[in-house]
Order: sequence, then C-alpha cells, then structure tokens
Amino acid sequence: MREKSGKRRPQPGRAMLAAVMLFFFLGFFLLALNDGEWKSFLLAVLVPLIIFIGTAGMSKLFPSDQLLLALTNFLCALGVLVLYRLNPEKGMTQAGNYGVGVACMVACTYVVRYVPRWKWLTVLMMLGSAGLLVLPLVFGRETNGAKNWIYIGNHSLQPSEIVKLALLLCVSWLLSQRRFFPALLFSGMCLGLLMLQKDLGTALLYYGVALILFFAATGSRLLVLCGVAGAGGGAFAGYQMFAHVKRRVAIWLNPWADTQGAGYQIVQSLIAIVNGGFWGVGLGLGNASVIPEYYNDFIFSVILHEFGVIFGLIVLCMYLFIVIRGMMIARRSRTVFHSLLAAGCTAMLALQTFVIIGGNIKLIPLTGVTLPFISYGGTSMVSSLCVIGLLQGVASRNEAGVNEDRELAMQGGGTL
Amino acid sequence: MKKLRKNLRLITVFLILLFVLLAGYGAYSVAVYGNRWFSSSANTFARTQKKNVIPGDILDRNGAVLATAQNGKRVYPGDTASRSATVHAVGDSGSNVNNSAENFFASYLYGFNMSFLERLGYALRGEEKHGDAVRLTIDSRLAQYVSSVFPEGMAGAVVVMNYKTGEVLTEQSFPSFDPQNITTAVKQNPLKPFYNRAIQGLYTPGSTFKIVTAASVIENIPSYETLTVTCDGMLQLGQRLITDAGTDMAAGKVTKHGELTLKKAFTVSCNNAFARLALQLGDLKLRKTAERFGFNDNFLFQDMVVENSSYPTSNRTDGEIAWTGAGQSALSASPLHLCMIAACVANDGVMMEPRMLMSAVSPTGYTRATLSSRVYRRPLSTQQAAVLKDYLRAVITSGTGTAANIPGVKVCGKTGSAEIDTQENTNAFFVGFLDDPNTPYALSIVVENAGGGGSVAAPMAKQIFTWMLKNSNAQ
Amino acid sequence: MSTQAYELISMLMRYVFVLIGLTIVWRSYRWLRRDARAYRREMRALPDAGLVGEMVNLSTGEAQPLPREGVIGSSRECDIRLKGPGVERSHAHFEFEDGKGLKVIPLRRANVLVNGNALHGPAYALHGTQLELGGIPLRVRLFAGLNIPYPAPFAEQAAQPWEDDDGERPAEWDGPQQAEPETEGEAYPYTGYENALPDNPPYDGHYTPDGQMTWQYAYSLDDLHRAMEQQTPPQDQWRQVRPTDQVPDEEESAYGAEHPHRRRRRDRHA
Repeated sequence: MREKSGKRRPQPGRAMLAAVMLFFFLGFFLLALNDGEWKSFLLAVLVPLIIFIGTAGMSKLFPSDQLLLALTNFLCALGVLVLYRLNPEKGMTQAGNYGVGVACMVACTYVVRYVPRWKWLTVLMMLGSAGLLVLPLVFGRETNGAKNWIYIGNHSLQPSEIVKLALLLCVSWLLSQRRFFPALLFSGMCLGLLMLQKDLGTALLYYGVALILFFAATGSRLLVLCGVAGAGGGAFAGYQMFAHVKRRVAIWLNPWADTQGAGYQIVQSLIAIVNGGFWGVGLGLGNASVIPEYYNDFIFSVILHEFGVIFGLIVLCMYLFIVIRGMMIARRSRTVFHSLLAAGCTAMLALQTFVIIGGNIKLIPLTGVTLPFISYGGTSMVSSLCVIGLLQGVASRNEAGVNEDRELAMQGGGTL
Repeated sequence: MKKLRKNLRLITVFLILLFVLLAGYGAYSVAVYGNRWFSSSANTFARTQKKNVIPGDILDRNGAVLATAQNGKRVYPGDTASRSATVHAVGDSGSNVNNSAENFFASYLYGFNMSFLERLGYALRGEEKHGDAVRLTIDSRLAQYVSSVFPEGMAGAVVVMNYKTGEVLTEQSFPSFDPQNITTAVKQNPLKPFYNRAIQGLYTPGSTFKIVTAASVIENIPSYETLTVTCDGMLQLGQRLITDAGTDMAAGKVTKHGELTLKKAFTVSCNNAFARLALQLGDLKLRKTAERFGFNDNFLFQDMVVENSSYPTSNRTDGEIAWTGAGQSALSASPLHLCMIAACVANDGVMMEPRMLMSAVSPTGYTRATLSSRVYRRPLSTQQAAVLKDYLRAVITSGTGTAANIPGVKVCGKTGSAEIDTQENTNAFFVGFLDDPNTPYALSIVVENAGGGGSVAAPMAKQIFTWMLKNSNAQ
Repeated sequence: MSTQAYELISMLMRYVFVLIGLTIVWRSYRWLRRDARAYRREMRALPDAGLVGEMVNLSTGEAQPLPREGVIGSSRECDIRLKGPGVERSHAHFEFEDGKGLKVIPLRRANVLVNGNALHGPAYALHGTQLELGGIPLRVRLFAGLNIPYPAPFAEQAAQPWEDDDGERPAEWDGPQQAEPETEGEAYPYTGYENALPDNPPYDGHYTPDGQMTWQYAYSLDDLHRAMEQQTPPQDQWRQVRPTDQVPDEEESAYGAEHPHRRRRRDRHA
C-alpha cells in the first residue's frame, strides 16, 4: 500500500517520445528524398536525437512537466521541419533559435523555482519593460504599419515579446499582493505604449491576458463586463483612428473583393487551406510559398496545406493540451502568485494561438502576431519557450510541494 | 485560494471554448466554402496541377458531349450554336466565365480528389492521369431551342428547372459567345457576354415579387379572400408616387383599377393595390416572408454559386415600403432565384435546392458523385401554395400573361416589368411553371431593356413550354 | 528519385503523419486523464497536502484547514469561513511565509485583534496565536516541521514522532533543528480538544512587521472554561495525518465518513 501512494505519478512514457521522434525522422527523410542533399539526411537523424535529449534528458536536469515538454518540442520541431521544407536557410536559423529558446526556458524554470522574493525584481522588471517599449518608438522603423522592431546591427528584436514575460510576472505578483492599482497602472502603460507603436495585435494580447489575470484575482463580473466594453470601445476607436486598422477590417469582411491586391494574403491562405483539403497535398508537393509571410503569420496555413485539415486539428489539439495542462498547473499551485503566473502564461499562449490562427482562417481580422513555437523568428521563439519555462517552474514547485507532503506523511509526521 | 481556483476553472472553460470555436469555424468553412474557394481564379496551385492531368469530359443529361479533351487540352465539340447555348453552364478553357462547371467541378474534372490507389494505378501503368467525366443536368437541345427563341442582340437570362427535384435543365445568359472562338468583338461587347446573368445578374424583380407579397398577405391577413383594396391610379407617399403600367403623367393618362380583391389585383398586377397591401402588412412582416423565400440569405448551394438576393433592411420610408410591395425599390434577385420562387409555388410550397451535377464518373467506371435532391426551404404551406397557384393560373387565363396560355395545358405564371432609371424600356420578366406532375418544369425569363413582361417574355415562355411538352419524353 | 515516385511516397506519408499525430494526441489525452486521477488519489491519501495547519474557532470548537494563502470571511468562497454579525464577506487575508509565520492582513479596515490587540497592518501569527475577527475568537495552529521562528513550543513538541520513527530527520525537514527538546516529555496527545490546552499556558507570540516581538500568555482561564463548556468536540476533530498505509483504497472510498475534510463540509451544508 505504501508503494501505491508513494510511487511516482505516471509519465507520458517512451511510446509518445518514440512517436515524436519517428514523425520527424520520417519528415526530414522525406525531404531528403526530395532534394537529395546530405544536410537533410543529417537533420533526419539529428532532430529526433535532439528531441530525445530535450525531452528525456531535460527531465533529469530539472523537475519538469513531461507532457508540456514533449508537446512543446513537437511543435517547435514541426516549425523547423516546415520552414526547412520551404526555405532551408530559414529552417536552419530556426533550429538555432530553438536551441537558444531551450536554454532560456531552463533559465526561466530555475528563476521561478528558486527566487524567493520578487519585490525588487518586479520593480526592476517594470522599469526595464517601460524602457524597452519606448526603444522602438525612438529607434524603430515602420514595417507593415507598425513600429515595433528595433535593429541592432544585422539583428532585429521585438521588445514587446520580451516585455510579455515581464508583464506576466509583474502583474501576477502585484495582484497576488492585492496591489490592484499598480497592476492596473503597469498594464495600462504597456498597452498605451503598444498602441503608440500601432502594434494592435500584441496590444490585444496584453489586454486579454491582463483582463484574465484581473478576473482570476478578483472574480468580479463587473470587471469583465467593463473590460469587454472597454475592448469594444478601444476597437472602435482604433478603427476610427488608424487607417491600417480600417483597411484590415475591410479585408477581413470581404477579402474576395480584391484578390490580387489588398486581400491577396488572406485569399491565398484560404485557397492554400482548401487545396490541402482534409489530407493535405503531401509534404514537399505544395506551393504554399505563394502566400506572403508564409514563414511567419501564415505558417499554420502552410501546415494545413501540406499536411491537411485533419493534421491541423491535431496540432490545434496539442495547443489545447498545453493550455489544459497549464491551467491544471495553475489550479494545483499552492500560492496565489504562482497560480496567477501559470494562469497568465497559459492564457497568453492560448490567446496568441487563437488570434493568429483565427486570422489565418478568417475568423477574426488578421493581426501581426506570431504562432507560438512554430512561427519563424528568434524573439518569438525565445519568448514562447520562456513562457513554457515559467510554467515549468510553477509545475516543479508544485511537484516539490507534493513531494514534501508525501515525505511527511510517509514518516508519519505532519501532526500539529 | 478557493475563489481563485473557481475563477481559474471558468477561465479554463473560456480558453477551451476559444479552441472549440477555432476548430469548429475552420472545419465549417472548409466544408461549406471549400469548393467555392478552390474554384477561385486566384488558385495558382490548381492551375499548375491542372497541367499534369487530362481533363474529364463534360456531358449533358442525355450524354451529349459538351466539352472533351484532345491532346490534353480542352475542346468543345458541336457547332457554334450548340457551344454558345451551353457556354455559361459549361465554362470555357480561359476561365472567362466564373463559377461554371469547368471551375466549380474542377476537383472532379482534374482528378483532385483521386484516391492514393488510383494514383498508384496510373503510376504503375505509366499512363497520364485522367480526370472524371462530369454529367450535368443541363439539356443541350433545350438550351439550343431557348437560344433560338431569345430575341437576337438582347441581354437577359433564361433558367429552366425541374421543380420536383431541383435539377437545372438550362441556365443561360444572353448575349452568349462561342468558347472555341473568342473574338475581340466578344471581349469588347458592352453587354459583357462573359457575365453569367442567370446566376450572377441581380435584377429588380418587378411584379414577379408580387408572388411574395401575396404570400405574405395570405399568411398574415386571415380575411384575404374578402379583402378589397381601392386603386385610384395614384398614391403619393412623401416624395414617391406610385403608379401603374400605362400611366403617363405628361399625357394626363392614368390607369385606374377601382375596387379590387387580392386575386384580381394579382391578376391585373396592380402596383397601387400591392403598395397599399404592403403598407397594411408593414415592412417587418413582408420582410419575414421574403426572407423565408431566400432573400437576404447566404446561398450556399452545393452545386452552384448563386448571387445572394437582397431585401432592404434599414431606414425605410413609407414610399419605399409601398414600392417594395410592388417589386420595385431596392430589391434584387437573380433569375435563378426567381425561378426557384415560382418552383416553390408549383411544388406545394417546398423550395428545392438547385442541382446541376448529375454524376461524376472516373475513367475506371467508379461513380464518385451522384445527384441527390435536397429541400432548400419550405416557405409556404400546401394550402397557401394552392391558393397562390390558383392566382398564378388566373394570370395566364385572364390577366397580364394570356400570351403564355397554351390550350389544354395548365400553365401558371406571373409577368413583370421593372423600371430601371438608366434604361429606355423596362426589363421584361416572366416566371411560371407547368402545373402537371408529368412535366414538372418551372422557368424564369429576363429580357433587359425590352418592354413589358406580358408582351415580350410571356410569348417566349409559351414557345419554350410547348417545346418541352413535345419533347418531355426525352427529359 | 523521380518526381512521380516521390509524389506517391509523399502522398502515402501524409496518412502516416496523421496516424502518428493521432497517436501523440491520444497518448497525451490518456496521460492527462491518468495524471489527474493520480493527483486526486494522492490528494486523498495526503489530506494535509498544501496545508500549513488549522484555524480553530474557539466559540464553536470547529477547526478548519489552513492553506498556505487565502481569505477569512463570511462569503462562501472564503478559505476559512466564519459566521457572525461582525464578520465581513472578506475579512482578512493570510499568507504563510517561510521563516516568519502566518502573515495576517486585515482587509478594508476590518476589525482584527491579535492576542487581544487591535491590528492596523499586517502581523505574523505563530502557532497558538489567538486572533479575533469580528468578535469571533480563533486559534492558529500550525503543523510541526514548518520553518517558523523559535520559540514555537507546540511545533517543537509535535516534532517528537519523527524521532521515534527512526531517529533521523529527513533532509528536507527544515524545522527548528536547533531546538532539541531536553526534557523527555511525551509526545503531545492530540486526541481531543480538552487536551489541546497544556497544563502550563504556553508561550505564545506574534510580531509586527518591524520585527518587534511581543510575548504574552495565550490563554486565560476564562477562555479555557468557555471553550470547554460550549462544546466537547468529537474525538477525530483534530486532523491527524494517518500513516499512508492506513489510508483506505480508492475503491473503499476514502471520501467516505472517515475523511475529516469531507465530514466538515457535509456538516456545513446540513
């Protein structure tokens, strides 16, 4: 009996890891058959190996949530595969980004696991994020109507992706201390600066996450109503104020009005999806690169095109499991701060996925948000993996707590 | 913590719902709009893939070949008359005609939904891939006859369908062109021959809309049989003046009908009476009936892309409402939809979905798709349909449509003449059907800028119906 | 490799990809369910998981489990629920801080007394501290083995069973290790409420955020008599962690009558 409750809880197991490895072995091998390059053959061996080390080895390095790790690895590697198929150079870069992202993820996990006091760190992060968000306004160049990138030499950086983490940490810490006003002030400031950068997709994301965190902390229905009304008002104001918002909404309502001009992106995305149909056209046989920004905003359409709608639903399921797992971690957490942090991270990933995939399938107007883990881009990859790292940190704290309780119970202690 | 956990549960449900919404909308839009998006002219993937496949034949309902492939390229057998009669339904190789069978059934014709085993078979045999043969419900002989009846040089459309099954026997747009020989004269014709008026042309339906107004009256006013309206020739509402055909203000000539029952008003097609009835009904009730008939609906028929009909929804003055009752104002409908309205009355109030694909058969003989009749809507009860049928019959026997009367045959119909500000003459309309279960055909005719429906379109209807009665065994 | 052959292979592989994807999704789903079930089972086996002690309502004798963080008040959503005319819906917030004790923060100028002194800001309560919220007296009882400042007499005594077990403390245990009890006092018996009060009133204290520690006797004799008169609590009132091998199987329903949490909750609704 003692073994029963004392045994470690089940892990996703080897079969799942084997399935993930097999998937990428076959994927890259297929690409190698197509182009016959040694690099592709090398990747067919390397990527499954890296996944093996990343999933099985990582759990030895720090106490981690195996399911989150396996699903995240799958999605990241899927991004590398699709990018490598369309543009080998971008695929290789993305693989590098993935490596950097994993390192950052481990760092984030350790931070959440071991940092005991957040007060000064929070103040520091708040100041830092204000500075970071001002940078592109001063040094940035306008691309696609928004001014949200800074350029250092050859490298470009999107500060809003990094501030995302600060927002999650600061707002959940402030709310766990019941400091509602500073939390409101900080999230309002971030939102205002993003509006100034005209980066409305990210602003929407921040707004949604802040609203969800406030609701979690207070449970006030009035707040949700006000929030939704505010979002509606903000959207209307944005629609009236910014020309590029007006244009995007018009494209969303009827992209078929101008299939060669304004509606080209979304029309090509939709056509690529239906060309794939339920089973896809087959890896390496599509022509998804006709979609502008196929590597970034429309990567989900590319996946649907080559792998099919059924596979798209499978990928969606994986995101959904990440979200469900994240919320499980939040609910199991023992302190308000970590609970809010996990909930915020999960909401961030969920909303981001919803906003961009919804844009791809014309459910909502398209915004320039990246698809977590899959989209091409260093900053995006790193920040998504850092968010997972924060979640892992909370998960490992929970695990440690349960272990402690179990030990106490096994010793027959824990009495008053 | 307790409260926080409860809130977190709500948030979890919300986030899961977001994903359900995504998956649901995605699957829905691919299932419903997939074919429409696929057949778009912007589909470069399909365009490149089509080059690797020998396109399948397009046949009419009797098996006559309308389009085939020679050396991997599309050719259209027959003579100029037969080719130009069916070009809008079949399409042309240059994709000048939108939403034709060539585009809309491309997934069959070009083998896009070939199974893996079929592809394997082609590879093993070393043959070039071959698309499915698509058989349409179109009757090419009827189409040729309609072309010969339609006034030369005029623009318009004719749709004939089987009201029991929804099969479209012909959908033609005029002027037409020969797909084998597209001349610059065709390209520069101001009447736009490439434009398929039967499904894409939105017309103000004119008096043919009175079928809908009458249906609304029958439904909403219980005493419709004894109801009388007085027509004094003119009805001034705000800035809008409602008059009848034949009224010429400059010449001081005013058509007056006097005291009218609903049936009488319908038979003589009195605008004034219908304007008053529309006001009596109110905009809301009339709109509800119209929307049941398919106005303001997003038509998502499986086999056809039909432009949506509209009934105006906002900011309406009494004058506009009154004119709507008589079929003018901002109403619009395609000839196919008008045909469906007539077919609905004929089919005891059941509106069938228009179908155009009879079967798709692969070269190996596997039937990939067959015709299946589907009900689109049921806007009328059987009794209401019977009353309306009686009215439509009276139009032919004693009203504006006597020119369509065929002795010994129960022809029912409604004429229409819609005034367009930019045109010299009115658009002539006729919608009607043969009230006989052996020849269940409904038709609609639109002739642009031609004059009155009773004088231009009704005689054409008579000719077409006569031809169909004579050849009905072959249908 | 010819284009046509590649096309065929790739088209075959898309089914394989979907199959592998479905396997991954199915296994993830199954694992999520298993994990949730295992976690629930574990939580049943460890009734004290996530708790730091309990809060005894001295006027009714009722004890409620004390989580690490939470709210005291009259609302149903409060972690520690008190009923009384003077209790606000959310009366006070509490939070256990490692090495400091239970931080109690009155919300919106609610009326909170700590050991008889009115509270105007946050204060740290220790084991045995008496709170009074809206007129309802409460006693804070913290588990042994928690990292709270010395002296915390109750905690120290309760640490005894650990030594009885195998003479060694687990490495994780970070309690007051400096305080080896010198007297051979017997383990504190937690069988009934009447025994909760030791012969000698224990030391008890709370301290203010600026580090000022105040000590006073926790109990007055009046307190004791009042509590004992009002109710003699049932034998299993104190939540004791049973050794795990006594926890009944899932099938026998640990949710049943034996589980103290469950019983209390049911009583509340009755």
